[in-house]
Amino acid sequence: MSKSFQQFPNSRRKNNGEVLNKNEDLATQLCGLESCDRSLLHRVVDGLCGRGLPKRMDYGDTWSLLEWGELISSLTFFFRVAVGRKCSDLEVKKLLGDVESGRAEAILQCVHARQEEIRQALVDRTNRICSTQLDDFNWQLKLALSSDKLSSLNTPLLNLCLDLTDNGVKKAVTIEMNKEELNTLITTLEAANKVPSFTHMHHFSEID
Amino acid sequence: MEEVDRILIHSLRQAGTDIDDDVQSVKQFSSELIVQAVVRCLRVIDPAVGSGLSPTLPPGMSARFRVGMSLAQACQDLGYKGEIGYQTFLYSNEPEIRSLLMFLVEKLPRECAEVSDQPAGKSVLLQKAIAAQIKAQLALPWLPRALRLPLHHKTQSPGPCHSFYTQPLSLPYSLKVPFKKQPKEVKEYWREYLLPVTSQPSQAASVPASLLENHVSELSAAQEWENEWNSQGLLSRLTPEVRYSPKLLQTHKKADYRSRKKMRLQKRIEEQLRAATQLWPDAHNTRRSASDLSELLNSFAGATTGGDVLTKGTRFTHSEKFTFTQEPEKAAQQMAAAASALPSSHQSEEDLKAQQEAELSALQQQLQQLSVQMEEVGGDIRQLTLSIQQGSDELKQKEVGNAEKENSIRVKKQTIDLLPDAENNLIKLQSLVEASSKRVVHLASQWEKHRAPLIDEHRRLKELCSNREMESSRKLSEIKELHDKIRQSAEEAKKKESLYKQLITEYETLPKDVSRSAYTIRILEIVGNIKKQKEEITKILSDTKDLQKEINGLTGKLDRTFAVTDELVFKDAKKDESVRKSYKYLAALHENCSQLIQTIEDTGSIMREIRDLEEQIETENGKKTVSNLEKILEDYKAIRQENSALAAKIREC
Repeated sequence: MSKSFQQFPNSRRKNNGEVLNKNEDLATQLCGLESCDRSLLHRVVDGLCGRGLPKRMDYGDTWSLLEWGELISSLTFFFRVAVGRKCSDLEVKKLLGDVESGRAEAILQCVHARQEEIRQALVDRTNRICSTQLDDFNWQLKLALSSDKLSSLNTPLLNLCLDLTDNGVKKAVTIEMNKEELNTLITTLEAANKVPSFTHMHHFSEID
Repeated sequence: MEEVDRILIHSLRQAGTDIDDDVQSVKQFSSELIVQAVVRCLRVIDPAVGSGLSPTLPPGMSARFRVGMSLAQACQDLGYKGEIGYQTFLYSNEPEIRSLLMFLVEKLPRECAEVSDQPAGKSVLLQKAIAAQIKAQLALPWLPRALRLPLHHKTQSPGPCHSFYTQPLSLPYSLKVPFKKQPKEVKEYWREYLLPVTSQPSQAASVPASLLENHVSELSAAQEWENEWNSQGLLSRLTPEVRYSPKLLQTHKKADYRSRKKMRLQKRIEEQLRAATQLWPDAHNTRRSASDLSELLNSFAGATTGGDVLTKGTRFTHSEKFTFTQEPEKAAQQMAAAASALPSSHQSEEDLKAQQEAELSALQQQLQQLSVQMEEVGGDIRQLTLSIQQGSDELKQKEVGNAEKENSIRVKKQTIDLLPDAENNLIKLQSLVEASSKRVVHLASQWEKHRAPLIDEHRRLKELCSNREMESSRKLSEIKELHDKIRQSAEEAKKKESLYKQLITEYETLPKDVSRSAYTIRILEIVGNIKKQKEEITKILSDTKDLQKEINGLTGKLDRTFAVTDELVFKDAKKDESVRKSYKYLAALHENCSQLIQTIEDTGSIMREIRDLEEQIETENGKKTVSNLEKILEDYKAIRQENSALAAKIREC
């Protein structure tokens, strides 16, 4: 533990170095960006927040494929750093380094406008600390009217589909439950919700 | 009769009988229709009895006969008093059928009276809807894919194939901050760059899913907050959140439920983290963990913002990672340093480069060492400051001890000074003590004087305070009650609304062709007619009685006059020959008259008989005797044929 702590300042310094390097690239990469074309920045933030990233075809042939990839990744990286460290305006400008002032202003405004969303996305990322996460769930309620043995069954069945990400691999789990099984599941989940674990508290603090 | 038939047919249709539209009266009922109607009615009245009977007439004659017998038996079991047998169904006549059907329709249960005004349960409604839907779908034939019309697509297509996949949406409003308080940049973003919500997700299929998810998450957050506020927040007597007005900000900040909760949670997180770091066996300098906590948190931020994909693991693997990932880096740096120490012999460019690299790594190593030294020095400084603090504490303690000792020394010095003139000084001291005790008493009495009103005041204020407290808690409970009441009434209103809707739909589905008021008017008319007829009948009856009386009177009078005349004439007849003759005439006249009366009476009775017979003829005519006879003959033939066929079969066997 102690070793790791002693290493932290170094690693941070290294990170800063990386940031600077990346931002030098950013300055050259942003050359194609017209100062008024801010929608690209917003689309990059959209991608950061879990929606689709912008497509190169929509922004003409200013960038080559390689440049485009670097631009997107460095912009994403920059937004994460700027919001994740709660940088002030001055710090953001320092991070941007020698990016031309009009563009720097545009980026700064974008950071201001989307701060809350980016923060939310980062918090979600932090919450995904376990090896398996639940991305989505869907359910279908089915009423089994009859079976091969009984003419009138009238049993409700729940088809629960869980979209999981297990170590970066997406997979779907489907469970069919009757009423009692569903009740058991719900009580178990509620009990789990009451146990104050680290991630949960993080979540609650976000809700409030 | 038409009226009665219409009502009958309508009720039979409601009971489930298939009656064609062109059947207008009972006269048009065929045997099949009668059997069907009776069986349907029986099924509604008593399902146990009705389920054993088939609503269609079988083709075989003997089977028909049996059906007729069992139907007649069932009707008699229900309590039908009239004449009934298989012939009623097979060889029908109108009045019998009408009376039977009327009896059955009267026996039909009155469902509308039993419908309670409770709304039908949701499950019942749902099952009804499902049943209707499935019925409709079963009615459609299955078609191969190429032949499907748009009509079939809804029920026979395999359904949507894409899964429920959500993405976070960006919406131009915020629950936390009102629109007008939003910063200028946010507003500009909303106005200029925010895409419409339908084009935000990368796949069009996930638009509804994302919208649903967004809505549900906001709704559940709001609900959770409301629950918590109603259960705990209200009782804590704090305002729910900081209002966005600068004037109130200061006063409300202290009493803000949300911020207080947030602080509490942050404290807990900190404690947990601290506990986790102290649990680690390697942590030999745990005393620094508090100051390192912020560094740890920072490292969290650094790791998340680092841009590299997080290798996922449990919380424990993470903390493990934090400790050990730095090791290989360090090793690499040491390797580089060792490499730089190698002597360089060549002066080529590569060498220069190598040299530079070596220099660089040497410098890095130096930097490393320096930083390590810095760390160490920092630790020393901390230790030193700690020892300085300890020293100053000790100093303070000693100073306090010194002051105490000086005090005691002063007192002792004074007593030693007073020792030579002990007597005088003793007296002086005693007087001094007395004076001071007097003063103490005086002061005590004065204090008492001041204290009493103050204590009273204090008590009064305390009471006021507790009163207020009680009042406020009473009001709180009132508020809670009001909340409950509001919720209850809202639920009730919802229930009533749903009931209303349900009844409206039911009312709309009800057939509109029968108007109740028309029936009632008709019934009232009929009742009026009956009353009038009754009056007429009583009038006629009284007339008849009068006539009877008159007739009786006249007959009596006639008898008496005849007796008197007879006597008078008889007396005179002995004397006079002509009178005797007249007496004979009188007797003949009397006899003839009585004969006449007799004849008239006979004529009357015959007329009545004729009328009876005519009526009988009419009823017999109504029984369709001829056609029924023909039918009976045919059926008889059919039965004989069946019998002979059966006999032939037996013989064959």
